[in-house]
Amino acid sequence: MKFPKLDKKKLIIFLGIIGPGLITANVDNDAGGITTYSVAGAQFGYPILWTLIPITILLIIVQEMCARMGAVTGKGLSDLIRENFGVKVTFFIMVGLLVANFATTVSEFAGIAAAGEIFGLSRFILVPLCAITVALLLLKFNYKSLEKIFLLMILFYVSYIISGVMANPDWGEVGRQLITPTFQLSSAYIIILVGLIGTTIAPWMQFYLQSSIVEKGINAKDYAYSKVEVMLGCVMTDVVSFFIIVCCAALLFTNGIVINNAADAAIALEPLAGTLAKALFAVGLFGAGLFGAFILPLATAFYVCEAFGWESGLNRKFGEAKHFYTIIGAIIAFSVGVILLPDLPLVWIMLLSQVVNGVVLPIILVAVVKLINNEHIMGEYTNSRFYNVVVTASTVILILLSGLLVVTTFWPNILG
Amino acid sequence: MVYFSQLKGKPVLDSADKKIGILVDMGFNDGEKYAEISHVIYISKNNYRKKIPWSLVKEIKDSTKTRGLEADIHLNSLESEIEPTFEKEKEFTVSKLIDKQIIDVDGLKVVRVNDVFLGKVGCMFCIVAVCVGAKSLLRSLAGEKLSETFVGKMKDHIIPWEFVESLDPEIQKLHIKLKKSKIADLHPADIADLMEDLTYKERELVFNSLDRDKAAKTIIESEPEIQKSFLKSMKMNSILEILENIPPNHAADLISLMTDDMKNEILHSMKPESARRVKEILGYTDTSVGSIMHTEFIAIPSSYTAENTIELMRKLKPSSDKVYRMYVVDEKQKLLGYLPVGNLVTAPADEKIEKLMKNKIISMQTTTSKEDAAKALVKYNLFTVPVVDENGVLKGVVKANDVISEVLPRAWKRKRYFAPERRKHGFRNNGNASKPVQSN
Repeated sequence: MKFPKLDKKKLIIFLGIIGPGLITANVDNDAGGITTYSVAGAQFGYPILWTLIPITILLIIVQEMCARMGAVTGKGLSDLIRENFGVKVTFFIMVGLLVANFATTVSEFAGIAAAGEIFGLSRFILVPLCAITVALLLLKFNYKSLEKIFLLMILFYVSYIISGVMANPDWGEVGRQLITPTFQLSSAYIIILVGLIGTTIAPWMQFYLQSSIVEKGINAKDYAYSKVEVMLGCVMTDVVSFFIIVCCAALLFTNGIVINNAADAAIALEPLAGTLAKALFAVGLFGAGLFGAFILPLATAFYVCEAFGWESGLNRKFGEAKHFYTIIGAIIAFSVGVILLPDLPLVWIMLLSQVVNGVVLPIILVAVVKLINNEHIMGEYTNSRFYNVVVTASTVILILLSGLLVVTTFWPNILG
Repeated sequence: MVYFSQLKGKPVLDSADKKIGILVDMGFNDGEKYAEISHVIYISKNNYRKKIPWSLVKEIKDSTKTRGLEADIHLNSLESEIEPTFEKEKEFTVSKLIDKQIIDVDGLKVVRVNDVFLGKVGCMFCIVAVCVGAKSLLRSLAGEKLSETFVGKMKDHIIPWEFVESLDPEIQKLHIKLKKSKIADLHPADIADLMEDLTYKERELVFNSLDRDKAAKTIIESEPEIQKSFLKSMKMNSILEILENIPPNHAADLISLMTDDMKNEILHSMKPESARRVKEILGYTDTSVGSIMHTEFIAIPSSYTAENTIELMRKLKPSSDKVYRMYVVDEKQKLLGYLPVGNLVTAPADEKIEKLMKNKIISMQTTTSKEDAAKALVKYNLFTVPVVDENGVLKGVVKANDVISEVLPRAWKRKRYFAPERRKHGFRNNGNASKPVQSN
């Protein structure tokens, strides 16, 4: 791999293309992601840390390919899938993603609601308020301005880094566990492992990254810079995950406290590390949920419209891109509706999202690998042979794990 | 009339009704109004892709009478008499259109093709239109029967081939060679709008099919983001050529988007006179009218007579919008007034311009803001207004349309304001395309 050498001029170009990689990778740490990391840390402590390194590498490999396709072809992923695999495959993937993303958006609003309740704010006020804000901003702003807002929203995650440091962990132990692979052959461990990978490498991300690379007008010439940004984003997002796990491991695991979600974690932290720790965790959760609530409906609308040839883009007015805005509006409205239901079937929805994502991810990965090696599409930018071996291996691993995720969702005790 | 999706996968039968293969694709020759089908491509029983000329097809008929609109392909020869050939890679085939994006030249949109509509035109079998609506989408997803049951009465959105501009690189190359890109007839501002819907590669493709003049105008009309992507992908020579052929204020607009290195290189390679003019405009701040004024205008010395002036006009041959407002200056190029065309042409030959001109004239400073300029143009009902420097020297002219497009919100411009006239007396009124009928 070649990287551009750094000088002032190149730095300016780099700052010009910044956005897609950082945003996509960071939204990865959405409400669901934070829950998974908190639970992983509280349940297994430091020994789970090493998995972050292979996860980061897998994430970089997958994201890099999508970013490269976007830059070289100027087309989104669903665009390429439709053109090369036909309407039926596309339709199947789109329906899957629509369901999965809807469920994920619900979990984002659930995160917002939980974070609000920690501060004593009723979900019946906070959730509609956030939904209206999200909808208005998406409707009124163009993508360029929103991208700046999104980049700022990344700052929410700093709260997790602070809580991680405040937890005052044994850094020597943390460092040692980070580079020492360990494995436990238990059902709970494997479910968490699969969950970690599942939340980190989600189908929608690949579409969103590629579309936003295209929307940004990044072409093959700029790609070297984009690659750096994508990697930076992936590393950054896993640094945040690292601090979440460290915080929960240091305070909750050592004290044997069991939690089920990120809000539990925040509440459990209070007696151990003070009100500030609780507040930081809750603010992070709120930010992550809000961030996800922006990106997921937007991403869904982008690639569904792309696949079926409807006008899309935040730079259009409502009348010009009806399908696009209708999809965004419907996802937000239904998600809020579900959250405000008295008997919230949240667990159900989370399971649904996990299963659908687990089924769709392998299809998308195979499509990505096939597309990126198609010389008609990629020209000289196909994978090298060595890289293809790495990619194929990663794809196989991810497919196996996502299969396992689906299986363990239905039969949690299958691994004994 | 038949849809391609109805033919794909159907048996190809020889004159003795013996099945020789299954239709998978059709070759065509592109044409202006219709594209003639030239070949049938089928998969033979031993799994080879083979092609035979369309002239061998006798009819497309539903031999079983039970499958609704579906149809088999009957040939006029026996299998033993047919000499199939193999496909070439760069041939145009119908399936290369399906699932791809095309430009609807009439509706000014980029849309995705779900199906292709075929029919007889005279004695030829042709692509008549492409289908882009929900009905054809459902048909390709769920099959003929289901879509007929659910949306049988619904009209599909189709685009006559006449208004289809394919984005396939091969077809585009052919269009450039034959100089018949359908896009070239559009107004540059409309082409600029379309550019936003294309990928940067497709943009280059379409852009290269335009002649120099249209290409230059299209760039001027494009949004800065699109302009940037052009500058990134174009060669230095083509950029220079375009910059030399557009008014200096537009050239300055484009140059201001470039990186410093590129800016210097371009200004060095331009003709000194054009470079000087561009630099002058670049010297004004972005928000002032100086940055958008035209520096080509007619300034008549006040000492001229009517005859001198008309002789000057004959020599300069200015466009009529410049003649509409001619400005009068003194020996130091200071603005004195304007000369109404009527006064000039009706005046005796030796009448001095000083006597003919109107000296009550509204002018602006080069530093006036664009917003103020817009307000002034509206308030005083002006189409153009002269711009002077701090010493009253005439520097340029600001046109109302340039100011409007600067101060209007961007989204207002994205619409086509011509009635889509052509479609009315084109394909649709022939009455043969409204509904597909079974071919016999």
